[in-house]
Amino acid sequence: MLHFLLKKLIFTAITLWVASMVIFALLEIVPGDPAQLMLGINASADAVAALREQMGLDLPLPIRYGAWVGGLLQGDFGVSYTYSVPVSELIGERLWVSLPLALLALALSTVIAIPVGLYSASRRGTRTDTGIMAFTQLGIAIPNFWFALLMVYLFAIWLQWVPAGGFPGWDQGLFKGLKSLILPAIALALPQAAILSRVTRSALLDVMGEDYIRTARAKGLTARAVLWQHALRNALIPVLTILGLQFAFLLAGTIIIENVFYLPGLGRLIFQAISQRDLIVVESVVILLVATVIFINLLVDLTYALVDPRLRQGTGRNAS
Amino acid sequence: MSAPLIEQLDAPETWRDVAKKALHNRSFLTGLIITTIILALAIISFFWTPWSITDLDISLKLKKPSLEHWFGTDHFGRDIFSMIMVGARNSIAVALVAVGIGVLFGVPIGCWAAAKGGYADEVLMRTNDVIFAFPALLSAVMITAIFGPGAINAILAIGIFNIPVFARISRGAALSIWPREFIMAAEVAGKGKIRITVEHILPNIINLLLVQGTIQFSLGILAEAGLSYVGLGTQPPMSSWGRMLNEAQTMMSFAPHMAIFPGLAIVVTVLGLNLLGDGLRDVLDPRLRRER
Amino acid sequence: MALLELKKLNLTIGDTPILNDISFSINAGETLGLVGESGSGKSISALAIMQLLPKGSCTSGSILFNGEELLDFDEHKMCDLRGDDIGMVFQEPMTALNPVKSIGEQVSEGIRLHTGANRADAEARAAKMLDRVGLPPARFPLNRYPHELSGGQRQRVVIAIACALNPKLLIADEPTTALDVTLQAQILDLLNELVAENNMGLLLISHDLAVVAEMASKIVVLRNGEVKEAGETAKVLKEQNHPYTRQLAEASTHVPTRKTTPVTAKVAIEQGTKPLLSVKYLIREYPTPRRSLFQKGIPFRAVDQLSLDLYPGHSLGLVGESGCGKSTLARAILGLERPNGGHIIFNEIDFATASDAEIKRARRDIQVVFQDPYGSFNPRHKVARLVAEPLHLMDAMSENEKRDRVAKVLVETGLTTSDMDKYAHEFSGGQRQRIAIARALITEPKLIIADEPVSALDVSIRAQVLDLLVDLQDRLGLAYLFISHDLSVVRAITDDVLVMNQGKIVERGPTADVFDNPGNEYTRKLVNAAPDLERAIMKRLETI
Repeated sequence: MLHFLLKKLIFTAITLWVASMVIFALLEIVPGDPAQLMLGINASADAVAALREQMGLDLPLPIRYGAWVGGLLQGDFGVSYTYSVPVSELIGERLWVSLPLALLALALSTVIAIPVGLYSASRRGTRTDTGIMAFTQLGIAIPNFWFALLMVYLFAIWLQWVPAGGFPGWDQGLFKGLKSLILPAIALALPQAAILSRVTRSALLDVMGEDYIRTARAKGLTARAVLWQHALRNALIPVLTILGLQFAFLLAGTIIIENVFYLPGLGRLIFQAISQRDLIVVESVVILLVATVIFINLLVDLTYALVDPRLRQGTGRNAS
Repeated sequence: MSAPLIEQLDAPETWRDVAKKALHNRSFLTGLIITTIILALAIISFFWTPWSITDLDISLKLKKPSLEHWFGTDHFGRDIFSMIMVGARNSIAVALVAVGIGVLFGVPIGCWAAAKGGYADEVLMRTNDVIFAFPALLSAVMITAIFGPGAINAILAIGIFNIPVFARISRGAALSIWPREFIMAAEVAGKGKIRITVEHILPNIINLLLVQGTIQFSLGILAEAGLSYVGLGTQPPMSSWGRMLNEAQTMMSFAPHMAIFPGLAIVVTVLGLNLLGDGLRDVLDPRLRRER
Repeated sequence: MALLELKKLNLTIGDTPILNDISFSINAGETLGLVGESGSGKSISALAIMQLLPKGSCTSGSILFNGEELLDFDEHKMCDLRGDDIGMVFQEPMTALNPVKSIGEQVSEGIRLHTGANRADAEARAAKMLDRVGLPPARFPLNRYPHELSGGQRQRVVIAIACALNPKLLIADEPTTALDVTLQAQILDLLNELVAENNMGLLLISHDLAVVAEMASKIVVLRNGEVKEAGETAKVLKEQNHPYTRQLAEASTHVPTRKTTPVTAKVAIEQGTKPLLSVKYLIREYPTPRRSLFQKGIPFRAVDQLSLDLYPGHSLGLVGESGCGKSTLARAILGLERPNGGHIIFNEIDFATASDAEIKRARRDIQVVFQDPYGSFNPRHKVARLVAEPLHLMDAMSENEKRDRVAKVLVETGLTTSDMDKYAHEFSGGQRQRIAIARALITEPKLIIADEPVSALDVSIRAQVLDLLVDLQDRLGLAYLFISHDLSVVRAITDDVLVMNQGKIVERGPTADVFDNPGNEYTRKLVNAAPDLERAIMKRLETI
């Protein structure tokens, strides 16, 4: 188990390291001088040179990379070119919108999808099953931001139940905050729930064809008991895989959905930064999101080991 | 995930069998019809659209759907049905080229990793993990931040994300075929790894790639729509479904039809492609068919 | 009253009839053997008794258990019966256990379900049961997972699950087919003991007449879903009144007739014949996973300093249990694995030192036939292309020339030239194995390595393929390295035999001598464990 854990941790660290280099290198090749950008076109050459030195832009690449990563590890992302405030402050504020949104959507999608998948699998071949599957097929095809637009029209413009967009801030109370996040969360969650419920169903059906299910039936367990006590846990592996992938999609999805609802999250931040060419902000947000995805993958890998005792010993040990 | 793939090999298939089964598969037929119609509309739009989309007539702006303008008109008075026909070209082209990039790079990489094994395989799959850590949208954001927005950059971003998808799936499928006895027979016949991959591995994983291809195609359409919607994909004066939704957003309160129809176009196309993919899998893969 | 009685049981799946008027009965304490080849309907009969049939099945007739009609039972009543009064053991121990549940959980699950016992009591009872089947909790704690056990141990767990509540009837569907002979003997002994201890009825399903002859007092012979013959095992198998029974029995003990004089190592050495293939001190190791982060695994020696000589026209058997290294040896000789030491010398060419061109030339003379008649062909290629594949080793030849050669070997192996344009799946298992032999013959080799070539075939087809192999040897002067776990097959077809254990040859000599008078402890164990039809019938006749 320890061996497995260590191996996973090392791989995660390497992945993070490579990803950080990729991001750094990509933004390094961007045309244009950040110092010039910050000071405007009319700034004097001396002022630009001074700022370059102050920002460390004249240092060689490896040193700047080292300084950047060193800063990241201490939570120092650098200073925004346009706002001249620490990037960590900017991100910190926005994270309190994006993260709850993504988590809410993930929770919603899981809570809907797994029971639906189970129900559908237990009634395989019936009309209910066919109906649910047709519905999920439609769900997968719907772009979440379009679904969001329709919901805004229905609930905010037409019925006027919720605000059409914006975020009052958590200091206005938990309820008000959640209320403005609920539509975006539903918009994000439903298409994902459609995928997840299909995966759950087909994973369950795959497992139900295994020999050990027959063994369990021969013990006297009913078909339903077998589904719960034997199939579900074995079916969890593919479900977990998709769940891990979905989190990455949800994070990326929040960027778009925030646009629909005018939510002041990371998505809005990154678009503003792009239009103002505030590259350090772009860089920071991207590395943060990528790190989150990598971390979630690690978490999923570790959960596999909890579910499946075979994985706890690392790789298989039989050579023939 | 590799073990069950083995079974699909024993499909007692000739093309005639496959065609016969396809004609009896409702999901495949529906998907095929929808996809064909959308493709046809996109091609026809090169020669003819019900209304010209380049003539702006403000007097016709924001008309509700009618017999004349089936899906209504936009804020410049352009016919939305015609716009959707033209927009289809971009949406389809972006998704298609992105799938092409994925297949072109991903399949050889995956097959190579499976044939080679050991450290080469490990390094390759770890590299894949790194790429997987960048959701398509995020790489699009970065690429846009660097090179500016545009359809080409959207293709690149979606295409790069498709590479590990195809690499993984072809590696997994190839790995399930390598231990089979007919591969050993080919090795005994003195054939090299590349030759075996071309003669024995590829023909046996092509079905799987075809199915995955349709799925990635539909995901590509969704991704392009998302990127264009936030302004990172297709740029005016070119049009795509996502771009149309972008323009529709501010007019949601008084012209919802501007958002509804391009969105429906996306839904129908993606649905068609997914049905086609499901149908293909049923027709080509006997293992999954058994479960129905 | 019989414990279990099937009366005119009919079963269809969809529109396909599967079982036709099956009748037999089992008394308490009695073992009934149900034999038949694949597709005879023996497994489906067992599932019918358990009422665990695939969807779309339709049964009629009668299944009486303890006088009660099972076909009238609803699902709820069947669940009470399964695992409590009727236990079942399956063929494939590697997949029959849930990989994510400990063996303790899996054995105690049924106990808790049927007796309502609490967890502690159920686990205590499970521990006792596991101890009874040969897995003492001191060495095999209840929290072990299936992947930590070997195939034989897993089958013991499956038996523990089936017998945990002392069922009145135990159904065992090919319980030892996936196991080595020594394990098979142990498991069969265990089943016998359990039957005697608890006065159980045992329905033993098997394709192996010898196993049934040893185990069962009554026998039912099934073919195509019909009972061909039934009765006392000894009587049925001794008298062989029904033609199908006779056919089965003959095929099981079939010995092909050689027209030419066998070549043995002894004679070859006396005549000064040079060996065709000579393996000297061969070593093949596999790396094992690291034991910890700083400690490399100790390499596993699959083949350990092994030497053998094989002469032209020689038929050499190689027997041993799974994991003994016999397949690794075959792969090394075929050039699919690089040896870690030692020499493989073919026709005086040492593969370790020869040039690539020399090796390629030599490889034409060594071909192979594999076990699995389904896995050894690319399903997307036609027979002509499949059979022509080894021609890659020859100098380039025209398509016409290739087709001529393919046609020739197809005819040689009892197929027709018109088979060339079909796909492999259009053939039966036996025909596929003929195609595999045709593929091996196409380069006109001197040596064919046959790795379990008949293990996956039904007995009657097995006999035909063995005949073909011997016939080809007579006509073409081929040498065989015949690898098998099945002693009766090796005895039927080889001149000399090597017995392999843990990477080493433990005994060698003329086949009949070695099997009749084993000089080695391991060989003796192997020979004694192997079921033998005639021996079993004799024993049964004595006890009557």
